[in-house]
Amino acid sequence: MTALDHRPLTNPETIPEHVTRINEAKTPTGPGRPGASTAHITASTAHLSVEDVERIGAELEAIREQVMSSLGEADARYIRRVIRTQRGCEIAGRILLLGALFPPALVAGTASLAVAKILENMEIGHNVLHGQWDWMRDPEIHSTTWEWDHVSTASSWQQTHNYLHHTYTNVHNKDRDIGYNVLRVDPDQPWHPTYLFQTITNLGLALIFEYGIAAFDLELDQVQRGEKTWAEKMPEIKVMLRKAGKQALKDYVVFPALSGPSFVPALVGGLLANTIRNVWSHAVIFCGHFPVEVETFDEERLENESQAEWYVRQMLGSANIEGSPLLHIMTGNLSHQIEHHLFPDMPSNHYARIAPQVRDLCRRYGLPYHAGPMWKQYGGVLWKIARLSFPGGHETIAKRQRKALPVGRKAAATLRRLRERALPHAA
Amino acid sequence: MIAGVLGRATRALTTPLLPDDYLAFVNPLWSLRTPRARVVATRPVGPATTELTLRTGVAWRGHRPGQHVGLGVDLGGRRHWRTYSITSAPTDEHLTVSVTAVVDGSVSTHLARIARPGDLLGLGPAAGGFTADGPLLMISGGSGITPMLGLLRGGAVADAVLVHSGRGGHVHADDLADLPATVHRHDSTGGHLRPADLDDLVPDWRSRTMLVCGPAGMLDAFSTAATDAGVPCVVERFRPPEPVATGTGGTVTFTTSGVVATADAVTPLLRAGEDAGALLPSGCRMGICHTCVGRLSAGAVRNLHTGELETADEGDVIVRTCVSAAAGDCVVDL
Ligand SMILES: Cc1cc2nc3c(=O)[nH]c(=O)nc-3n(C[C@H](O)[C@H](O)[C@H](O)COP(=O)(O)OP(=O)(O)OC[C@H]3O[C@@H](n4cnc5c(N)ncnc54)[C@H](O)[C@@H]3O)c2cc1C
Ligand code: FES
Repeated sequence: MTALDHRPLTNPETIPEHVTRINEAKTPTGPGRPGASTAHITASTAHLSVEDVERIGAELEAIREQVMSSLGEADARYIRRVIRTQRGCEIAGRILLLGALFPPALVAGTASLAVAKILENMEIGHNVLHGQWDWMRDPEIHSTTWEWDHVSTASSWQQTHNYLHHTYTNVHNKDRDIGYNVLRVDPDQPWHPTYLFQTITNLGLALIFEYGIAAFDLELDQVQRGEKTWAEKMPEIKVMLRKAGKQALKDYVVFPALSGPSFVPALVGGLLANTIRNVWSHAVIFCGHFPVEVETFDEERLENESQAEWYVRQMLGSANIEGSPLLHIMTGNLSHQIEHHLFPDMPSNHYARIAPQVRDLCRRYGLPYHAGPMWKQYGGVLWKIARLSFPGGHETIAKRQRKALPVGRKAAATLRRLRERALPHAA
Repeated sequence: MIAGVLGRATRALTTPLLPDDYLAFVNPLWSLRTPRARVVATRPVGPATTELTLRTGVAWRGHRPGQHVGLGVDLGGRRHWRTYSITSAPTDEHLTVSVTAVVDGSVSTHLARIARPGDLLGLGPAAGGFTADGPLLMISGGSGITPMLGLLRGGAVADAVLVHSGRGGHVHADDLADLPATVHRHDSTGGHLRPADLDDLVPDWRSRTMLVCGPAGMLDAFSTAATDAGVPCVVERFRPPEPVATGTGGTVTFTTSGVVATADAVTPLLRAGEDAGALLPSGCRMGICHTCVGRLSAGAVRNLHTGELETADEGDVIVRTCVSAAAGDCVVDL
């Protein structure tokens, strides 16, 4: 909602890098070009012809078109209601924590603040920053003006998340979200002894997830690789530190100080609320891309990738969490990760409605649609992280992925053979 | 100093939001940054015209007589901005505007027929300089009476004659008697008001500055007559002249917003950008106020009023996006 004072306000000479890139990810064109390639063939798509893939793309475009042209007043009311609820929870939480010496106030205040922070980061911040609500033309709910309660600044998030992650989803060496540089979540990542402890690393990451993401968004690995110098990175680091400082000051000094005798419990409440938010968003995000069945891809796949193949990659590389409407809101509708990855700029309240259509499409084309309850998805993630702390893992993981395929290998081979035979002497 | 410290302290409580966001959460009119208005009353003042009485928010900076203001209306979840002349005096407690529903007019129909007390509207800054010194001759047709009301009620005019034309019923007929001006009504059922009628109605019209607001035909006729008679004349247009368009349009890149829009040769860049989800500055939306300007950094645009072509390589080219259309692909720094 607020333009922080450090956001650039002057008109830059050229398009700022992150801006074009967000736009790329906002309009679901990806890097895809029309014109099909063969690089898309993996075990899960072996039974599909190029035409099939194009048809899938066309069907998805139709779904998108139908939703985007239906947007209206009810949607505007929805997001405003969520924002009002969030502000209400935040105010209630802060007020309750003023009396945190009284244990029920501490518990209720912490819970209310945690809910506020989760809503703010997920259903509101993440989605607004994707430009999902830009169509309303309300300057207060707009991807170019929004700043969120997260130490990662809106603009740097838009670069690493909206652009890199959403465009190159699950492509090795391109999508930095694969393991966030500290975890081995795919057998194709080379093993290293530090991964032996990654179950603990992961636990630690969950607790401080907000800071982990901020550090990750700084792309400090560019310095390690010698692509950038520390001096070049410094301005960005400073901006982020300043934001983190303000945040910490507010949560851990100013509000506790206002609570007077309740200083310590109020501080604990703030810390807990932040930690709950961290652990929750870590779980949701890990469930989106790291469950065992979800596929990753090689860089060759990007070559000549068509729009339709891009869509297919998004579906194969994401996983949904099944649950109640409340769960969906609290995950910022990232429980519909598949739909979100297909249409990152579609208002999140529509994902639930199109999910059955997407699922049906996957069923008709024999594509896997990774979905499961939270315990199953998160359990799978944790199992995989544990397994991959040791070298190898290709076979075990590949076996589980194969099991998840709706069309078995044999059936796929038969289908291909039949199709090739039906072709009028292509050779 | 104290205010500064206090401001900083409250900002520390609300970061990354501003204290203002919470003020607006409690009451949208309390926002110090974003002017808003709430409809407090509506009153029919003509066959298709409704006067809206607005309570303005804290951020409203006031106006001068004769100015107009942008109103933001959410229709189908999307915000639309249109300009309306202010009919109240700067000293009045409330702001008033009168909106005439035009055929197929989305915003005007909403404001004139659907808006109810309690509705919240976006509010732009006041703009425009529709005024003149010395003795005045005001000529208005239909809803063109509104800026005249603003001028007369604002007390800025000592000597004025108003000729107000209407078909049968006059817009704001009941309010004309209270105006500090000599008022002549003209009924256009028997024929349009013509400059030739002035000699009878206002014999000394040649010694007055002419202010005209009304349908396009009226504006053209009277401004021509004024030029011929060597009389100074100021016109207020409610809608832009028919666009001059040739060519095919193109894609428009808004660099700061990071939005790429496709636009045909008659659609203003402003409209194309907004439809593509960009947040662009705008005021009058018809080439008067220059709120909407941006630097053209590549390509060419055509001025919809004059048909002139402006190209980026002519140096520092600033274009008004509300009256410029794409002439091929172009890039605007907005
Ligand atoms: C400086 C200024 C002051 C203005 N003051 C007033 C005022 O005091 N009261 C008032 O009612 N309006 C005033 N207007 C006009 C107003 O801003 C809108 O243009 C008008 O209300 C139509 O908006 P709309 O959204 O309903 O029409 P749109 O949906 O934009 O247009 C629908 C159709 O109506 C046509 N159209 C657009 N404008 C007009 C018009 N003025 N008359 C007839 N047809 C039109 C369009 O060409 C289109 O075909 C003013 C405009 C300007 C620039
Ligand atoms: S909006 Fe007033 S000149 Fe363009």
